[in-house]
Amino acid sequence: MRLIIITENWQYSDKRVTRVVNDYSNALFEKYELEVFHVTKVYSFKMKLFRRLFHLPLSLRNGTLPVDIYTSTCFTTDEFSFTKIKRNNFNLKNIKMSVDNKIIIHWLDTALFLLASLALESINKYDITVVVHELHPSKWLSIEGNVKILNNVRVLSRNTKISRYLQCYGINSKVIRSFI
Amino acid sequence: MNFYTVGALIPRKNIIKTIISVLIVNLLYRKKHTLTIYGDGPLRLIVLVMSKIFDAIIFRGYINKEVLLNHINHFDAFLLFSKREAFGLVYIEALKEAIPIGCLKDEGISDLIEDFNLGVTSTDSSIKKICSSILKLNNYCINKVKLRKALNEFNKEVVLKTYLNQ
Repeated sequence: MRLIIITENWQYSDKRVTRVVNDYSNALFEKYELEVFHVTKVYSFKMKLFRRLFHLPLSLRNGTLPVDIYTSTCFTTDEFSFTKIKRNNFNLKNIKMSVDNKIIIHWLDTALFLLASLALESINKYDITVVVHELHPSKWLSIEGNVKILNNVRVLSRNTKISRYLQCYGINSKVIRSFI
Repeated sequence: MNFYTVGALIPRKNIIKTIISVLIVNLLYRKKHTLTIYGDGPLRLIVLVMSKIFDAIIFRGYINKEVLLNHINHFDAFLLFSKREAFGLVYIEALKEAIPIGCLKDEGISDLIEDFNLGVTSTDSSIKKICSSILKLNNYCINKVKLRKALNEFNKEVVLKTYLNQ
C-alpha cells in the first residue's frame, strides 16, 4: 500500500526531527510504500524582502528563521522516495492517487491550498488525513469553503488548544502526540 | 530545589521571567533554589550577565542533546513557561526521567500534565503566576503509574496508529 506524506516543513535544520521521521519510516516499511513530497512555500517578493530586511528583529523576537532555510538545504535519503517541489508547481492530480492510498498532508495552509483544487466528491473518495500544526487555525477556517473541505477529510491536531479551535468550527479532530 | 530549563533564548520562551521568578521566590521565601539554563539565542548576553551576578542562576549555553539527557536526572523539576508551543519535545524528555514540569496552560502538552498530575501549569506568564508555580513544585511527586500511562500516548506504535487511522 502507498503512503504519501506531503509536508512543507521538512526540518533538515533540526536533526531531532529527521531522526524521528527516519524512525517512523522504518516502522512503516513493512506495510507501506512510503513517498514523501516536500512542498516548499513560495514567498512573494514583498515577503522575501520583508523577511530579509527584518530578519534580525524577527529572530530576536521569536526566533524566526531566515526565508532561505526552507529552500537552501536539501534532505534526501535512499530509503524512501523523496521529492522536493515548489508548492505552486505541485498538484494532487499529478501524483496518481488511487483510493487505496493513504495521504497525510501536514499543515492546514498547505492542505487547503492543495485540496482546494479538487472537487469535494473526489476528496471524499480518498483516505486523506490533514495534520493541523498552526497554533491559530482560525485565519484559514474563517475563509468560506475551507471548513467544508476539512469536513471531508480526517483531521489531526498537534495539541488540545488547536483541537478546541477546530471544534469551534464544527471540525472534530484527534490530538496526535507526536513531534512531527 | 534544582530547576532546569532548555530552549532557545528568545522572548517567547519566557526564560528571563523564569529567572526573575526563581530569584524572587528565593528572596521572599528564603529558599535556595537554583535554575540551570541550557540553550542559546539572542538573549544569551542578558542570561549570561544574570548568571554572573546571581549564584542561583547557572548558564550552561548550548549543549548536545545526548549529553543533556545524561544530565537532567540530577534535577528536581523542569521549568519552561513558553508561549506558542505546539508540542515541546523537551517536556517529554523531562517526563521520561520522571521530572515534574512547570509550564503554561494551553501550550504544548499542558493538558496531559494536568490530567495525569505531572506538574504545575500556570494560567499566564506573569512573574506572579510563575512564582506561584515554582512554589507549588516544591517537593512535587509524580505518580509512576500515571506517568507510564501518559508516556504511553507518545509511544511510536500508538502515534502511528493514530496517523494511519487503525
